[in-house]
This record gives sequence, structure tokens and C-alpha cells, in this order.
Amino acid sequence: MKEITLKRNINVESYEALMDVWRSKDEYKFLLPVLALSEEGGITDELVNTRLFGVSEDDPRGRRLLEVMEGYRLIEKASSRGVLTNEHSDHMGYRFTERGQLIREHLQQGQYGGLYEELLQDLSRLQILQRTTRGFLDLKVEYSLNHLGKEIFMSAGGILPELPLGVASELETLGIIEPQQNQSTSSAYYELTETGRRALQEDKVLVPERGVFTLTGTTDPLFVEPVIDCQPKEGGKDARQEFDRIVKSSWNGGKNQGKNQDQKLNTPVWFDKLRRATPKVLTLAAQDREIIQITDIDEKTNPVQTGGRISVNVRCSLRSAPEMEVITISGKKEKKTATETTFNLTLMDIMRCLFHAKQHDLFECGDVPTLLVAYDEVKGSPSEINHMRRTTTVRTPEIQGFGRFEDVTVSDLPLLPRTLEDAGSWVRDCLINGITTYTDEISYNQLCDRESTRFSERFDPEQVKSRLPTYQDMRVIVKERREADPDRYWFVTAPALLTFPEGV
Amino acid sequence: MISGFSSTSSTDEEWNNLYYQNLDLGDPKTVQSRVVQRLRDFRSYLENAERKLSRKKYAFTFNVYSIRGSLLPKSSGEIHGPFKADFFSFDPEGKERLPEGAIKRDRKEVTLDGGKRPETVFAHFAGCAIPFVFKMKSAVLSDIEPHNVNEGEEDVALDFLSESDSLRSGKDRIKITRNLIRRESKLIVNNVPASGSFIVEYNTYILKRQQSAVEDLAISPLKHHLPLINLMRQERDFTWERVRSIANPERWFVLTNEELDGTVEQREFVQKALGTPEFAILEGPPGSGKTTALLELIAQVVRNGGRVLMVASTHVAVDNVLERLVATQIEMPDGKKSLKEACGIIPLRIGDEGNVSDMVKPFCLETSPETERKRIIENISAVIHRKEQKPSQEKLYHTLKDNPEEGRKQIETLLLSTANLICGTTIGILKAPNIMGASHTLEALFDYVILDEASKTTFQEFLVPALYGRKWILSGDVHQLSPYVDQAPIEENLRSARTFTSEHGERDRELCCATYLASRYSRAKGSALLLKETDEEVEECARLAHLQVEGLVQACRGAKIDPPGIVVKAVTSSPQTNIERCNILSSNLIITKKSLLSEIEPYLPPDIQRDERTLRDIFSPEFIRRMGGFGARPGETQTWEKEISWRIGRMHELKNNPKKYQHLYRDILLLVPYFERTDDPKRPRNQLVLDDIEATRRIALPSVLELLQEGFETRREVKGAEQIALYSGLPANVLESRHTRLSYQHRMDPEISRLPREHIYEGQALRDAGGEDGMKRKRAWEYARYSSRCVWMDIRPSRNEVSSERTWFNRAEVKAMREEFKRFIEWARVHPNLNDADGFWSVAFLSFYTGQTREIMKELESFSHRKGTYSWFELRDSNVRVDICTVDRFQGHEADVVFLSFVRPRGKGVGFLDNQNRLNVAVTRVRYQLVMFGDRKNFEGRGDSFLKALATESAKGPIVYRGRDA
Repeated sequence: MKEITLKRNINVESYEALMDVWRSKDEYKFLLPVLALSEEGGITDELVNTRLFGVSEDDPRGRRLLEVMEGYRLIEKASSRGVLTNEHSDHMGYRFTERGQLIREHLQQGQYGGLYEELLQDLSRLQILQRTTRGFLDLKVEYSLNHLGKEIFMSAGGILPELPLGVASELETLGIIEPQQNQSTSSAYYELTETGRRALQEDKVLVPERGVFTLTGTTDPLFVEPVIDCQPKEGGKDARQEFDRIVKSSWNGGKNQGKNQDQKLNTPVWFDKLRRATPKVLTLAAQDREIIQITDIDEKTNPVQTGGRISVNVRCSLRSAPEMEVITISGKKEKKTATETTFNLTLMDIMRCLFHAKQHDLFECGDVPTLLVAYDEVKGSPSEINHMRRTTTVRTPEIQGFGRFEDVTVSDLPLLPRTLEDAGSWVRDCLINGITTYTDEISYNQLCDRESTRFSERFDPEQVKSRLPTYQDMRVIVKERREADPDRYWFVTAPALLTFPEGV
Repeated sequence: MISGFSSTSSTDEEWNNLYYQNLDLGDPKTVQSRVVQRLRDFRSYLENAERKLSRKKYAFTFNVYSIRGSLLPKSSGEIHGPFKADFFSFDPEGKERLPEGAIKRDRKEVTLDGGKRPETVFAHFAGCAIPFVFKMKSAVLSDIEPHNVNEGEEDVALDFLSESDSLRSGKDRIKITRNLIRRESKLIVNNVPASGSFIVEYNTYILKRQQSAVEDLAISPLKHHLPLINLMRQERDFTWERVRSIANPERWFVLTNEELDGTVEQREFVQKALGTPEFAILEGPPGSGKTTALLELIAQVVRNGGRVLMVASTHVAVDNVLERLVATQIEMPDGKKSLKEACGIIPLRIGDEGNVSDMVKPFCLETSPETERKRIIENISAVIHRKEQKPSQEKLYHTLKDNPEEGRKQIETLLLSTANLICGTTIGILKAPNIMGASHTLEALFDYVILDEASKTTFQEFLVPALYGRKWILSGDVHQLSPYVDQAPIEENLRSARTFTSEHGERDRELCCATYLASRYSRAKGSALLLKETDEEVEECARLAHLQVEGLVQACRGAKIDPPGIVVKAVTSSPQTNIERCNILSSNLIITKKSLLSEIEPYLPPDIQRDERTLRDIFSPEFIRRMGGFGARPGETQTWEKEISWRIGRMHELKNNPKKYQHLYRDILLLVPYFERTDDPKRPRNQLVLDDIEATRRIALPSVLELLQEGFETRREVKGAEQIALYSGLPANVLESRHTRLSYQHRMDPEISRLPREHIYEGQALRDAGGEDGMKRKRAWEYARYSSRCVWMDIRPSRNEVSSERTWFNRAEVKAMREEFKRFIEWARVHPNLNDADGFWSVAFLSFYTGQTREIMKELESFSHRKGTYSWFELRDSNVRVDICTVDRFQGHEADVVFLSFVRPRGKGVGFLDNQNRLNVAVTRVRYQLVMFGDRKNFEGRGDSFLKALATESAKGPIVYRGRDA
């Protein structure tokens, strides 16, 4: 007795609704290396371009790819959480305005006279220009770019350097620079979302689809998740049939078109719970443990009748945790899927449930559930007496917390005598059954030794042996049963008759 | 629903469409019902056509142009690589050498001209010949001609082939690796079909996709499809949203010069397109800057983070946009950049690379994934070699390298995900896997779907890409050619018109057609002969024929036209008396038994209308000679559906010519059946068939642009049709706020634009940008051969120079064209085109007939310096590129010089040149010089004003009389 398989049919309900379902798509695995950049200093379009795709850092494809991944909720902008992970992030947010460009040109060419004095003074105040006066009576004011000024206005391509706090806002107020929106030069930093982290961990990328999906759920306590299957309602044939149906009903003046199902349907608890719990990641038990994410379920639903049947097999064995298999039967097709289960009982626990009335007679013997029985229970069954095992069918057993299952056949359940007396009687029967050839006293004693060890894991063999008949007793026993069992009579008595007494 | 389960909604009676319920409509059930009803005709048209055409096929003959292959060692011990040999030969002695040009040593390939396909090639190394097995890789098939089809069907057959990706030879299926039928009349295949011919089956993919699009929209619309649904709703049930007025964008990228004529209109369009909640329409004549306006729109949308799907019914229209995207340079703060780079546009071109221009090829989805995959692998390999790789790089390396096919798919998805401008033909875009499978995405895949050449695209064709977008921009010109109409689906649908049952349908159509042909309204007057098997069949057919004639007479009276003079004669036995014989001779609809034909043949009228093959099959040579003597000629195979089909097509072309339109409609009235097959029918049979013909017209012919702008007239009454955009066009106020017409042209010399401006656009469009002087300056050149930029060469051909037997051609015009071309290339040789990067002048030889284009190709063969005839070639020394094409195919193209051949000589009518749109397309392709070749006399007296104006108001070139200047 190594394992037991519990089986039952599952009650399922299917509902279709318009929803957003995210499913794993192999062809999107190229996104995983991008996600892996998060472990190498951060995800930026620049890194995507240069490290992964070997193109120039300002290639638009990197930025576009990250936007797409943001749409797939795999990553999110680091700043959206108020965290700037990179020291350069904040200085890239500005660019020159048109006015700023003009001023830049003037300053680059040293044409300070072309600019308002007021502006020059402001720039001096901001340490961008160096103001120097010359002369005494004929006072001359001269300006030149100082270090910060050169960084800002002499930079190649007009790319602004990191600006000290306050300088940026002052320059913005002066209309020289402006915040930069969606510019390819700004390298936004992204972090992994929970979905992104999961994708990286599990090597799977979930991609969203919107459409009518049919969710199949169950309240069966064996399942970890009530939703066990999710299938898109495909267009194609279905759409064609519905089109035909509507055309037909329109020709009949809409008579067969039926009533509008506006009333709210009573959807089951599992469905309502799921709706409330979205976004929710699910592992579909009846669908090869496919992982999906549902982000939004529309309010309107339709119940769907399925033409198939689902059943489960829960296999409980000695050395491993229970395993569950979901079997989907549709017509002649049968599909089996191994899945997780909430079923957490040991084989011993199950045996106690199956043999509830005898639960106190069950005990583990060398890890194996074993049933204690009285000699009277087995004496009529030579097979049980000899093999010490029982095969029995338990009708619709109920397992506490998991409901009823189909009839279970327990094969080769080990049996042991409950008391020493039972053991003595049992071994006595075994001893008699064990005499299958001519047995003299010596070999009889050897047989007794052997048989009395039969229940050694429970009783001391010596004690058992003491309850066995002696050779002489056995001769009496077989004599009494000579009519019924002549062979055994001769097996025991013949050796004595045919042996010459000592000294003859 | 569990995978594999059969599933039904809980009760069939309950309406529970979740897609409609999600649209937030007042009464979603009714809306769905109406939408389905209004799309029903489209769907059944497509379904019917698809079902029947899936069995259709055409046969073609061909020649092998070349074969490309590799050389494999014959013995496994061979150590010599063949491509280091001194030379190659077909024989071991080296007598029959392969030309050195045939050996591509760098690519390790051999290319053999013609049909030569040796098993062994000998490589010669210092006097030693080593045999190698020639293993074919691909073959180029040329001179591909439809086999056993009528001339009228040749183009259809070639179109059929140009859309195919495989062909059949016996039981073998051969893959077409590149389909160059449209560009070079060639196919590249992976095997040579045996027996010199192959069969191509009808590609019903397009019909299937259109059908799915109709069904998807009707059954499972998502929120972003609501405006498309609204096209099928009555206006009183919803409100069209207002177009938001959009101020000038932050910056204009292409439309920078406000002073330029037309810029204001182009900007107005862009603003409308950016502000529209759903549709915007850009209407503009040829050369009016539609593409420029679309480029600006694309730039604005992409710059704001949007995504665009750009489609057109032809490859050239798609490539025009992409080429301009790359070629247009704009000023940016950090210097000049292409528009593509400046706006961060990531283009992707979907479609067969063979159909794509060279400039666009780098963006092709067909090949770029593999190129990209290899490039990225190579890039990362170098890093790995230096042992400097990061985990992300290693991950990407294995993703792409371990399984090359999977890696290619990954890159394909990457390209499709990141591209923000995806381009292709309306159907071609579905070749991209994650577009095809993405009809239901969270959001619309594209912010804008731009349909260029919308006047050439039907509604059902438009729906295929439309489902992927949230806003739709239609660009086109209703004064150019309508959608290309494939006759096959129309004919299949007409054959399935109601009351044509499987039992009697074919016979009834035959009878209707014969009765019509016998009437004096048919184009080619003559008699009709119906052959039956038994006396009973003859009598039954005669009874119905009498009913049909009676019906026709009544219909004619109703239409106030003279009744047809049809005399029906049923012949069940050999005529014994002269009176009986006279009766047969004087009848024009004769019904008899096949077995009697030989006996009554001497008395049959000699103008029986049959095609040549059937005539030969059923009549004696004597009868055929008698026909010739009478002046009767064999015609084309005439079927009822063909007669209807071409007429409804012509009606659509001539909708602005009431007289001709009415004439054609009257013909159709005479073709429908007037006899009943059932007792007490609810509606007369002729009405039912007319309704079905109307439905076919409404679906197959109008463009989506026409539908949205004007609707489509129909005699069938639909309740509330005037309120439904699909039937009556968008309401005037809705259309006005979404519509922009470009009124300036930037292409043609003013002398060329004048006539179409006056006769086609009534002065409202095609105004010369910058005024007459502006365009004159733009098109200034020194070629002084002609007195005007719009010249008519009056060609009077001799009788034997013109043929109309299978297709029209006119050799006199071809010769004149050649002479003019010779003069031009002499000039062009020393005057390169300074407006072209390569200095080339583009010259287009156009005609309205395929037969004539073939003649032109033959005539110009010597110029191309290549073996065979080509529809496109370059003369580098002369700075000229040549295109030889039919007018219909040339829509969307332009050329510096156009030589246009009118073909038909005096007394031969004008054929379909009475279609002003076709003429408009022909004339408005040209930038510098239009030279028309035709018999002026034939066209100058026509009632069609534009045709007449072209013949009479164009400058006169020299008259060529029977091949000589007169």
C-alpha cells in the first residue's frame, strides 16, 4: 500500500465577460534582457540602444520600446514614484527657448552690447557672467562668461549641463530655458513594476488583450484558485454564426431575437471576488498552470454552458505531498493537467478518514498505515491470514474539509493482530497452513520459530511462540482433523511412525 | 469554457452581446441588429465570392529566363572547392564553356541563362576537369502569358497571378519566392514547373480577410470602433462629435512656408486631422500636395507620441510617403535632418520586398528582422569575446542565437512593437503576425489609420485596416479612378442572384442573355442560338423565351422605348418546306436540338453570336465562311453575368454622363428575367434580380471616399437611408468640418494643368501654385521639340497597323512614340535633370490598353540593352528612366515626360475613354511634357467634353500619316 487516488467530478460554472487579460507570449521574450538592465544600473533608453541593440544612444527605438513596455506595465518611470535614481536625471529636463537661443548666439560671439543691461545684470547675479568695471571717471562695464556661463552657453549642440539649484528656475523665469517635454535627449529612468519583476523571475512576459473571455470557476476546496480556466471567445466561426443568427432573426422581424438581457445577473461569489480583486495574477489549474493577469472585468456577464466534464484525481503517496491532476473531458477528447492543490493531508490522515470507525486501530508501522484487527475478523479469510493485507472498497468517502469523493479501493492495506492472543491464534493458523510437507519435531520447531516472528514489529516472538502448540499438541490437532485434512495428518504423524525408536 | 469544449451561450433566445453592451449605447441590441442588417449585403457578397472563387484557377505558359544554383561535389572525397577553378564547362573536354558572367565566385553560385539545366558542370583546374552536381536554388520565369483565356480576361489572370505566392504544376506545388509580375513580368520560383505551363488558383485570402473584418465589426466591436459603427446608424440616434479646433502646432515640420500657395489649405487639413474625433478627409487633385500634408500629419502625430498605420491600395502610394519621409530634409536646432530622424519616426514597411522601392527596402519587415538579428548577435559577440558581457546582453544573445527562427520572430515582434509608422497595402499589412492577431487589443493599435488613394479603396477593403485604429484619415480624389474592380467576385455574385436556382439558374441566365443578344439593343447586333438535348427542352425553352420577350416588350413600353424586335423560333424537326426554312432564317432567337444542328445549319441566319472556338466546334467550315461573307464576326464568350457585370462597372464610371448611364441601365432592364419559375411569387422575379444587381453594385464599385462624401445612389429603398452615412454619406455639416480640399497643384506645367482644371475640376482645383508664372518657372527646360507642353500628335494609321481582335493596339502610334523618344533621349543625354539626384528624366509610355503597352515594350526592347521586354528600364547614358504601363496602373505615379497613346483610329469609337476620371489620370501624371498620340479625327467630334478638348485644344504636333510625316 503505497498510495491512494481520490477521484471526483468537479462542479464548474463558466461566465463570459469583456475583460483585459494578460497572457504569456513567447515572442515577447526579447523584453526580458531589457528588464534585466534593472540589475545593471537602471533601465534607460540609452542603455537599451547601446548595450543591447548596438545603435546610437539617441536612436528613437530605445525610447519607443520603453514606452511600449511601460504600456505593458512591466516598467514605470522612476520619477513617477518621486525617486530619482540617477544623478543626471534632473538636469536633462530643460532646453533653450527661442529667446534663449538668440541670447546664446550673442554670448557665443561676445556681442554683449546687443543684450539689455538688465539681462546682463541678472546673468551676473546668477554667476553666469563676470562683470568687470574699468576706468574711473569714464566708467566702463565689461562682461565675460564665467565658468558656469561657458558650460551653459558654449556647450556643443546646446545641451544644458547640470544646473545648480535655483539657477534653472531663474533662467526659466528669464525666458531663456524651458522645461523639456518628451524629448529624445532626456533619458528617463525606469524601474521594474511588480509585473516586470515577476516576468524576470519566471522568464515569461505577459501581454494584454481585450476581448470577451470565458472564465471557468469552481468552489471546490481542492483548488488553490477558484478560476481554473480562461479562454478567449474567438471570432471566426463564432462571429459568423452570430452574424447568421441575427440576420435570420432580423428577417423574421426580430421575433426570435429574444429579450434584451439588461437585468443584472447573479454571478457566483468567486466571480465577484475576482472582479473586486483585479488586477489579479492567476494560475489556471485546468490550463497547464498557465499564468495570466486580469486587470479589468466589465460589469456585464453571460453565463455559459459547457458541454464537457471536469474531474480531478488526487494522488496521495507515502513519500511525497499530494498531487492533483485536472482531467477535462470533451467528447472523446481527454486532457490531463497536473496542478497545485490545497489538499494537504498525509496518507495516514486520509486512511483515518476512509476508515473513520476504525481510526483508533490505524497506526503507522514503518511509515505505512496499518490496521489492527482481531483474530476473529480475519480467521475466515485465508488470504488475509497468510498475507496480512486487505483490499477493500470504501463507498463515497468523505474527507474532512474536502468533501466527498468517488468510491475508493484501498489495496493491500497491512493488517496486524490487535492483541497477543489474536497474534497467537493468527500464528497458530499460519503454522498449520505452513505444514505442507513431512514435518518432524525438529522441523516443526523451526517452523514455530519462523512463524512466531511474523508480528515481531508488534509482539515479542517468544511470547507469541509460547502460545503455539507443541509438536505433540499438533499431532493431536491433526488427528482430530484427520477426516477433513488427511494430508496434513500424515505430514505430522508419518515421520514419527517411520522413525525407529532409539536402541531398536 | 475549457479548451476544446463546445460552448453555447446559456439560452440562444437571449441577446447578450457583451461587446455591444460595453459600448454604452442606449439600446445596444437594436444597434447591433441594425449594424448586422446594414453589413449583411457586404458579408454575403464576400462570402459568396470567396466560396465560389476558391475553386477558380488560371493556366499560364512561360519561358525559363535563368536558373541559379550551387555546385556540389560528385564524390565525397572531392577536396577542391569548385569556385577556384580556372573555368567551367558543360562537357568534360571543356569545349562548351560557361560564360564567366554566369559564375558568381563570391556568392558561390552559378546562374545559367535560358532553359539550360545541366545535371553536371565541370570545373577545370590546370587541365584537370572535375565534375560537380548542379543543384538548382531558384529559377526566373519570364514571358508569362495566360493560357486559354479571352483577351478581356488577360489582365484579370495576370492580377490573379501577381497576388499569388505559389503555383501548381501537376501535383507539385511550387513556391513563388519573389513575385515580380507587376514590375518586370517575371516570377522567381524555387522549382521550374514541368511541361512549360503552370496553374494558379484564385487567392481568396483578401476576400476572407474582408469578410472577417465585416464580421468583427458587426459582432465584436470595441470602444474605439464606435465611429465605424456610427456609419451604420441613423443620425437621429446619436450625435457626431464636434471637431476640436487645434491651434497651430508647436512647430510645422514640412509645411513651413505659409507664403507658398496651398500651404494654408494643407495646414488646415492637419489641424482638422489632429482635432477630429474620428474621420478627416483630404481631397486633392493630382500633384496638389496630399502626400506633403500627410507627411506633416505623420510628423505631428509621432512627435506627440502617437502611432500611425499608413495604408493604400497600391504599393507605390505607400512607398511615396516613406521615400519622402527619408528624403525630406528639415532644419533642426542641431542641423539639417531627415524628417524621419527629426521627428523620431520609426518606419516599418510590411509587404513583399519585390513590390517595394529600393529606398524603402531597409524598412521592410520581410528581411529586416533577420538582418537585425545578425547585427545584434554580431555586436554582442564582440563583447562576449572580450568577456565584458553583462547578464542582459548574454540573455539577449541566447534569445536570438540559440534558435534562429525563434530569434527572428523575436526581432520581428520588437520591430512591430517599436515602429510608430507602419506602412503597407490594405491587405498586405495583415502579413505582420501581431497585427493579424491583434484585432482585440486593450487600446487601438494605432492612433491614426491613414488611407491614401481612398478613392481607389472599397469600404470593405478599408475596414480591414480600419479596425486597428481610433481615427481615420482618408486621402484621395474622386475625380481619379475608382477602385480596381475584379470582375470575378461580381460575376460570382450575379450568378447567385435570387431566383437563379441550382436547378434552372444556368438555363435561365442563358435564355435571358440570348434574348437580350437577339434584341436590337445589344452592342453587336446578331442572332442567338440556343441548343437543347430533347424536344421537350426545346419546347419548354421556347415557351419561356416567349414569356421573356413579352416581358421585355412591356418593360420597354414602361420605359418609353421602342420594343425589341425579337423573333423566337423553336425547331424540333428538320424543316421540310421553304416557308419553314424562311422562318428559321428570319428569326433571331432560334432554339433547337443539338442533333438537328447539321440539318438546319444551311437555313440559320449567318450572324449567330458565338465565340470563335464554339463556332468552330459546332458549325461546319462552310457556315463559318458564310458568316465571314455576311460580315459577321465571332465575338467573345457572352454570359449573362458578364453582360451585367461590365455594364454596372461602366455605369459607375459614367455616373456623370446621364445619357450613357441611362442607356446602360436600360440594357440591364432587358437582361433580367421576366418569366417566373414559381406560381404566385410574392415579388416579380425581375424586381428581385434587379435588387440583387443593385446590392452588388453598391458593394463592389464605390470607394470609401465616395461613400463617405456622397453616399451611393441606389434604387432599392432603405428605410431612413438618408440618415445613414453608409448610404447617404456623412451629413453635410459633419463632412464640412472634416473635409479639406487642396486646390493648388505643384506638379504640372500650366499648359498641361489647364484642360483638366477647366473640364474636370471646373476651376475649383488644380490651380497652379505660384500662379502660371510660378509653375512655368518650376518646369522650365530647354527641350524645344514641341510648341507646347501639351501636344497632340495626329496619327492616322493604315488598316493593318491597328488591331482590335483580342486587344487594341496601334503600331503607327508605337512607331511615332519611338521616334519621339529617340529625339528626347538625344537631348537628355547632354541635359541631365538637375532636379533629380541621379540626373535622370522619367519617361512614361502610357496607353489605355494592355495590348498597346505590350507593343510599346517590344518596340523599345532594343533601347533597354537587356534580353526580353521590360516594363521598366534605365538608360544611364541618356539620363532616362522608362516606365511602360497602362493608365489604370499608373495612377499614383508621375513622370517628367508622358507619351500617351490613344490607339483607336477614326470610326472605331472611343471605348472606355469616355470615362473622364481615366482621362484625368492619364493627363495629370506628367510634370514637363505631355505628348498624346492618336487619330485626332476620332476624338475631336465626341460629346465628351474633356476628350474633345484634349483633341482640339492641345497644340498640334506633326501629323503622321501611315507611318510618314504628312
